Amino acid sequence: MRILIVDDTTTARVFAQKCLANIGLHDAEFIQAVHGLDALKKIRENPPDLILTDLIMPEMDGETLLKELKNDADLNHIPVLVVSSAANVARKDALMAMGALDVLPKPFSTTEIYNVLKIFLEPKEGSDAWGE
Amino acid sequence: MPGENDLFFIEHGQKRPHEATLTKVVRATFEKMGFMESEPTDENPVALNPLAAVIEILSPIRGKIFFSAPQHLGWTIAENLYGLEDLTLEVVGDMISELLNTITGSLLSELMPDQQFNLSIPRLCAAIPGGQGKTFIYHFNIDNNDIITIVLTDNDS
Repeated sequence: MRILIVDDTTTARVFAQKCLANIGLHDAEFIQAVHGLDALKKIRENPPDLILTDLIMPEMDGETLLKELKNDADLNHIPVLVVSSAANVARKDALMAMGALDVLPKPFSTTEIYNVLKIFLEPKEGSDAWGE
Repeated sequence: MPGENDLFFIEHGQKRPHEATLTKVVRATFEKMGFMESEPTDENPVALNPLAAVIEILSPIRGKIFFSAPQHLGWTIAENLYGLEDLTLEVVGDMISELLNTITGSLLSELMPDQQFNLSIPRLCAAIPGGQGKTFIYHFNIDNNDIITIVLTDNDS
């Protein structure tokens, strides 16, 4: 599984990667991007299976990244989990309507991210980890 | 009638408006990111050469939130979070900015759950302000050991 973590701070990327490893994704291949534009370039080169993105970033924010992905027929199937301290109820509703997998407020715990991603961690019989 | 800067004026006259909410988000942030406990305190820190950062609230209200921590606390939190001891000042500064970003976003999400808001990218700064404009100063004791300071201000300068 390839997971792209998009955040402009190293701390947030490292923290997210640790949480993902703690919930059983330690064997995943982690890729990092520092803003939306950087992420789009990496996604188009080699699409990941899951994207975690922050909202407030320079160059291109997470909301624009989500829009770009959902408007791209080749990429709109990739689940996008938004993780942001700016994700209150109002913004969560807007992001979910745009197609986000879920919106997790920072700071999040290992348990909280597990609850969001457990559907990907418990494959059904006869299917792969992505239920396909 | 409340002004545009409701965050800072709505509880005008209180010594520390939103203290309970700020305490809640500081506790959650330090517990989840730094694996540390925090409690509000009236103690005034005397840290020399602290690590400080500022973030601007751009809309729907205007203001700034400052964060300051003793140097060694910054390094300790970063070492806990990264699981490494060989860190650089750049990494520790990045971690301070992320802590401030998380605290600010969580605070505004609690205070304005039904309104979208916009923040600047946090940046490191030399010092936190004194008392210009409408300014509220909060201190938190981290792990009964070090004191951090958070300042909410409507001062735009």
